[in-house]
Amino acid sequence: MAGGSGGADTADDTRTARSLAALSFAVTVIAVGVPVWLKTTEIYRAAILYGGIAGLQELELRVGAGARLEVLAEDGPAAERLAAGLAPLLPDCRLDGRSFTEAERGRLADAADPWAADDALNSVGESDHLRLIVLPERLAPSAAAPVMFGRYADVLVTPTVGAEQLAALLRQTVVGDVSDAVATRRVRSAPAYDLLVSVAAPRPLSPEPLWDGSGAAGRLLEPVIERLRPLANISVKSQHLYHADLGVRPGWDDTAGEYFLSEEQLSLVVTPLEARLGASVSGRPTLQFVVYVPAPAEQPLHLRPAGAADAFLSPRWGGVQVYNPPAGQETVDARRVVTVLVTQLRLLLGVPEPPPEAAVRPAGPSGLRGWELMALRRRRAVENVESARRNLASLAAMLEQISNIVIDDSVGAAVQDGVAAAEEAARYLAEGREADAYASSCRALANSERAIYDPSMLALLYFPDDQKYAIYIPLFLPVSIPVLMSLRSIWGWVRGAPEKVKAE
Amino acid sequence: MKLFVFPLCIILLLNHADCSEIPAGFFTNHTNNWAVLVDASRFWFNYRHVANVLSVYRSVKKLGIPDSHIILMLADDMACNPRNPRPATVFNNANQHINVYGSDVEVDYRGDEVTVERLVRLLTGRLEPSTPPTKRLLTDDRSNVLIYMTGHGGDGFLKFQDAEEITSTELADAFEQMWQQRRYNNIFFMIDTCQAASMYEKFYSPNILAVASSQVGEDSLSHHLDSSLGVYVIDKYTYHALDFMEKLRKDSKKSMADFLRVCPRHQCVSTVGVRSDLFPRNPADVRVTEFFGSVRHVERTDRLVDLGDGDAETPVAVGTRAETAAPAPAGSYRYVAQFPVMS
Repeated sequence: MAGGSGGADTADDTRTARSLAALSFAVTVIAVGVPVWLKTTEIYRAAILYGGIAGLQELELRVGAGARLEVLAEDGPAAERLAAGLAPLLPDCRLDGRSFTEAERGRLADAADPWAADDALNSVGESDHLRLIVLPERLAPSAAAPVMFGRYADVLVTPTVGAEQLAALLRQTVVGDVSDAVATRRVRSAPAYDLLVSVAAPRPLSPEPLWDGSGAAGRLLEPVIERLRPLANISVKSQHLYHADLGVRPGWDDTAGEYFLSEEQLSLVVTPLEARLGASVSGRPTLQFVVYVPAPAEQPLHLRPAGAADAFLSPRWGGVQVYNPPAGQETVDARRVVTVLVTQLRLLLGVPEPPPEAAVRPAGPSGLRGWELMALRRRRAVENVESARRNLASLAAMLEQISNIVIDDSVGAAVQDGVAAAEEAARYLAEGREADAYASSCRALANSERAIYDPSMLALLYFPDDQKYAIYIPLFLPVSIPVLMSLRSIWGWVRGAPEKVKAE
Repeated sequence: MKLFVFPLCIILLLNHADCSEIPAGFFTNHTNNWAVLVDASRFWFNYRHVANVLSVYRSVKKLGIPDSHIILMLADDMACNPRNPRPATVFNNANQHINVYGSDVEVDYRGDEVTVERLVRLLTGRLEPSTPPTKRLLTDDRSNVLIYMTGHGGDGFLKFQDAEEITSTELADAFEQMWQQRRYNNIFFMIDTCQAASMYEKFYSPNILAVASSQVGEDSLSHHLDSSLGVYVIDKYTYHALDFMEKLRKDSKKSMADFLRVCPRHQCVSTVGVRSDLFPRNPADVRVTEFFGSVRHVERTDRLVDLGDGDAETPVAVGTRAETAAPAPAGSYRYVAQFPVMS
C-alpha cells in the first residue's frame, strides 16, 4: 500500500533524523565540550627545565677543579720539573712552569730575604692566580720552612722542597675541600653581611670606653673590609649596650688576683648577650662581635685556661671578647680589640689555616692574604653551587609530584636563570676564573632561593584534581546521561537493525 | 655533599683547649636553638591550651632560648578576655603561683593570624616578602628546633581556631620541605592533644624525635579546674612535663630519655607515645638542654693575626680628652623604611 510504505519511509526518516540529532549531541559533547573543558580548567604551569636541573646533579664540584698553579723558578726546566712532579698529586689543577722574566729577576735581585722577595714580585700588582715561587739559591738558606705562604697570591718554596709535602699543604689550604671543623664554624655564604660591634657593660661606666668607628678603630678595620669586598659587602655597625649581664658569676683567684670565667661557663654566656643584641632590620646575615667590659668590681676578668686573648667565638654566630679597660682611657684600645675581631672574623668566614710546619707571613693591615681570598672565593663558589642545585632539585621534585601547583612566570624565570648561572659557575671554576665563578654562583644561589621560597609554592593554596571533578560532575551528569543512553539507539541505527517498536 | 648531615663532634671536641671537662656522651653538632610554640585553639573554654603554651614558653626562656629565637603563635584572647577575673594574667595553676603571661611575653602571631597556612608558610619559609625577620623562622642546617603544639586534635588532624584543620600529612610534608631546604639539624616535636600520636605517624624526614601525650583512640585529659575561673587551667601531660622542666637549670645534665619518661600511665591516664626511629642518636645520650635550652658550643680564639704597624694614628693618650673638637657630622641620617621589603 502506498500509505503503508509512505508511513514506513517517514518512520525511517524520523528515525534517521532522531539518530542524527542524538549523534550531533554526542559529537558536540565528546569532541568539542570535553576538550574545551579540559583546556579552560587547566592550571598555568610555566616550563621548568627538569633536564637542566638533573644535569646539575651530575656535576662534580671540587674546590680545586681547574685551579691554575704557575711555578716560577730561576730556570725554566726546574720549574717544569716541579710542575710535572706536582701534576699527579694535584690532578684537578692546571700546572705549568716558567722561568722568571727579566723584570722579575731585576726586582728579585734587591731582595734580602724571602718576605722581601714576596714584596718585590708583587710590587706592580697582585697575580690573579696562585703562583709557586722557587726561591733563588741565595735566598734559600734564610727560608724559615720549606714552604712559606706569602702575603699575596704566592707560595714561596725552597728549591729542595718535596712534591708530596707541598701538594699536601696546598690541598689543606688552597685547593682542597673544606674540612668539617671549618664547615661547622663558618657562616653561610652570602653576598653581603652586617658586622655588628657591640660594647656591652653590666652597668654604665665612667669613663665609658667608646668604640670610635670613625676614629682609630674604624681606620684599622677599614682595610680589612675593603680587602673582603670582592667576597662580600660588609657594612659595619656598632652599638653600646648597658645592663648587659653575662648571667654567670666569675670565680675569684687569690693567687693571680683576678676574676676568671671557666670553659663551661662560656657556653652559657652567649645566649643572654644575644638576647640583648637586637634584631636587625636588614635582610643580611649579621656577624656579631661583642666587646664585654666587666664592672669595676669584677675587673680584671680573664678566661681560663689562659690564652693569647680573652676571647671566644660561637660557630656561625660571632665572637665575644672580654676587655678590661686601662684606667681612664676614653676609647677602647683599638689595636687590641680590632686584632681579636679580625681573627674571629677570619675564622667565621672559613679562611684556611696552614698547619704549623709551613711558615706564614703576617697578613699586614688588610688582615687577609691574597691566596686566602682566592681559596675563600673557590670554596664559596662551590658551596653556593651545591646549595643552588640542591634547592632546584628539591623544587623540581616537589613540582613534579604535586601536579596542581600553579607555576607562574617569575618562578620559571628564576629556575631558568638559576640553572644557567650554576652551569656557568661550574664552567668558570673549571677554567680557573675564580672571580667570575664566584659572581655566577652568587647569582645561582639567589635565583634558586627566590624560586624555592616563592610564596606561591604552597600546595595548600590549590585545589587537587579530585576536587575539580567533584565540582563539574554534577553539572555534566544531567546532560551526559541522555546522550550516553541514546548512544545505544544510534548504534542500532548505524547497524541498520530494525527499530524496536513498543508492542501494543 | 653531605657535610652537614652527620655529627662530627670529635673534631669539635678536639678544638677545645681543655677536653677533660666535657663528659663522655655529650655529642652535639648544633649551633643554635629555636622554638615554635603553637596554640591551635581559641575561646575562653580552651584556657588550658593557652596556659600550656605559655608555660612551655616560660620554661624555654628560663632555660636560655631568647625571644628572638622563639616563634609564639597564640590566639591571645585570654589575658584581656572580659571573663577573666584577673585581667592581664594567665595562670597555669589554681593556686596562681606563676603568672605565665608576665610582662615580657612576645607573641609573634596572634588572633586571626594563627592559621594553617601561616604555620606551613612559617615552617617552609615561604612567607610574604614584607614579613619582618622577627616573624620568620630563620633556622639553618645547624639549628635544633623545638616544636610544641596543643589544641584539640583527632585521628590524623589538629583543629585550628575552630575553623580549619591541619592534617598529619601536611605537617609531615612541611617537615620534609624543611629538610630539603636544610633548615634544621634536629627537631623535637611535642604535641599535647587528644589522639596526639596520629600526628607524628606520617613523618618521614630524618632527625625528628617526637613525643605525644596520647595514643590513637585515647583522649588527653586536663589536670585540674580553677573554680574562680570556671575552666580547666592546664593539661595533665604538660603539667608533668613542666614539673620536670622547673627542676632543670641551664647546665643540667638530664637526658631526653628522662624527659620521654615523664607522665607515666598512672599519672596521665593516657599513654605517652614516642617516635624515635627517625632520630639517629639514642635519646639517653641527648641532653634536654639541646632542645630546651641554649648551651652554645664555643671555641677559644688563640692565634691572633698581626695587623702590622702600619697605623700612623696612636690611640688617645691616657687621661686626656680628644683635643680636636668633633667635626660636624658627615652626611645626614635618614629613617629606615617603615615596612622594608625583606627579599
